[in-house]
Amino acid sequence: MHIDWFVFAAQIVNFLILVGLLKFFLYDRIVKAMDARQAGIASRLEEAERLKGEARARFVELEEKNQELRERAGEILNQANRDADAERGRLMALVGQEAQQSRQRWRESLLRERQVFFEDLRAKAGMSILTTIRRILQDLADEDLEDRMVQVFTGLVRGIGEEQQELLRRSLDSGTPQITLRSAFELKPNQRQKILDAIGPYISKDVSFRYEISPSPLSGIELMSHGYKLAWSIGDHLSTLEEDFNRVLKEEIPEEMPAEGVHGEEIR
Amino acid sequence: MEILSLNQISPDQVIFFQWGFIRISATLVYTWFIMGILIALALLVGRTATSDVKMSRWQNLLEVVVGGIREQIHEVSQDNPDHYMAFIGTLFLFIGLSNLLLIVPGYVAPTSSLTTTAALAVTVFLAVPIYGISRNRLGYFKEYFQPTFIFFPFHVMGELTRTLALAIRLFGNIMSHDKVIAILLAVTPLFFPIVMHALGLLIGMVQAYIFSILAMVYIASATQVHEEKANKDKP
Repeated sequence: MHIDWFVFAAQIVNFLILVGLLKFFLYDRIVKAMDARQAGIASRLEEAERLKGEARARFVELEEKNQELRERAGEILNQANRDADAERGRLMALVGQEAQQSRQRWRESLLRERQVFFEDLRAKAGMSILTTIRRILQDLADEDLEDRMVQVFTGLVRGIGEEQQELLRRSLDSGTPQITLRSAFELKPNQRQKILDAIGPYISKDVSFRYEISPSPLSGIELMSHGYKLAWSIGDHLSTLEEDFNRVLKEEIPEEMPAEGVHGEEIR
Repeated sequence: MEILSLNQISPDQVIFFQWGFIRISATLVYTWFIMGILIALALLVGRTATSDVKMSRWQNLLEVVVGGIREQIHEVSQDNPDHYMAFIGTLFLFIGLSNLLLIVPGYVAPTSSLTTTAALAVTVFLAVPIYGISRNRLGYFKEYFQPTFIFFPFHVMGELTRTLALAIRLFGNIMSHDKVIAILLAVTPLFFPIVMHALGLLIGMVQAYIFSILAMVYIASATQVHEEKANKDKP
């Protein structure tokens, strides 16, 4: 087995040179790069772990906030519902009240209209009745209506009882002996005389008479002294007629509206 | 072109140039060739070595190799591998690449020369006491007188024989494989030599691994025995 000692020495030197060169150019740099990468990866993993922890904590925090917000939103919603219910109730009460007031106003307006209508009706009916009666009296008896009214009134005066006569006398004794005769038309002298004749038996001769014209065409003939009044008028009959009208109208238009507000139900 | 004929055992016998006792043989030339490849690779990769995740393929390859060597060193020595990396790593890379290139036609492995393997074995022989002394100072020599001074010659003989075994093992394997391939090419020139070449690659890498690991074991035994003893002596 041959060993070349020059080559032997040269190989040792070669190997040592190779060790030095590789250590400087390869191992140190590669190991350094590997260690740096490992450290970088470790630090990045550590950073990632830290960030993960932060993210988890942040997630938990946000989840809690989210839960809190949901609960708060629910509370706000419930409160809003309660407020809305209360406001609706208040508005409904207001609307009901307004409806009631409106209904009351309508009713009052209706009553006023009815009253005006009745007054108008009464006036017109009175005039119509007077005209009709006058026409009838003229057609049937060939007498003036006033004469007839005077006749009726004198009949009424003659027919009063003892008690009424006493009242008349007392009223004349209590003050100035004066009797006022108020009529819807001007009394003619013969008519005045008929009335004086009728009342004459109840009074003394020194009683003075005063004649007035009533502004209302419905009034007939009234005899007035101090606190005493004896009258016959078309208004009495018209009052009866008005009562009849009123009764009939009540039957057709009830004064009271239905108790439950229909408006309220419709609004709801 | 056959550089080394079948009847030539060692590439030392192929002389390219001679001046006095200086003889430039095929062993030296191919050794320089191997060194050139390794240094070029180191320069290429080392210059652009980056700690970034993205790296060149060559750096990736060398990182795998260097990482593997460091791991093996750490397993054997249970110590910081960077102390031994230059020596053990260069042994493995040199022997490994030298054996790996056997598949290149016309190439003669320097490790098929007993001179080369002996030189490498001697570096190991010298590295063991150097590492031992650097770690344990003169206490390293006490190991040679354990358990008694009578064992000193046996220890020295052991050192010498294991060094010789290192040299002979590598030389025998590579040289014999080279010759077997040459003979097989003459006998069965078609399929079989390819299989043997593949087997040769495996044997070459295994031998590089064995050589490096044994060197590491020798060095580790020199550095650790005294440490273990020192640890035992501690109260």
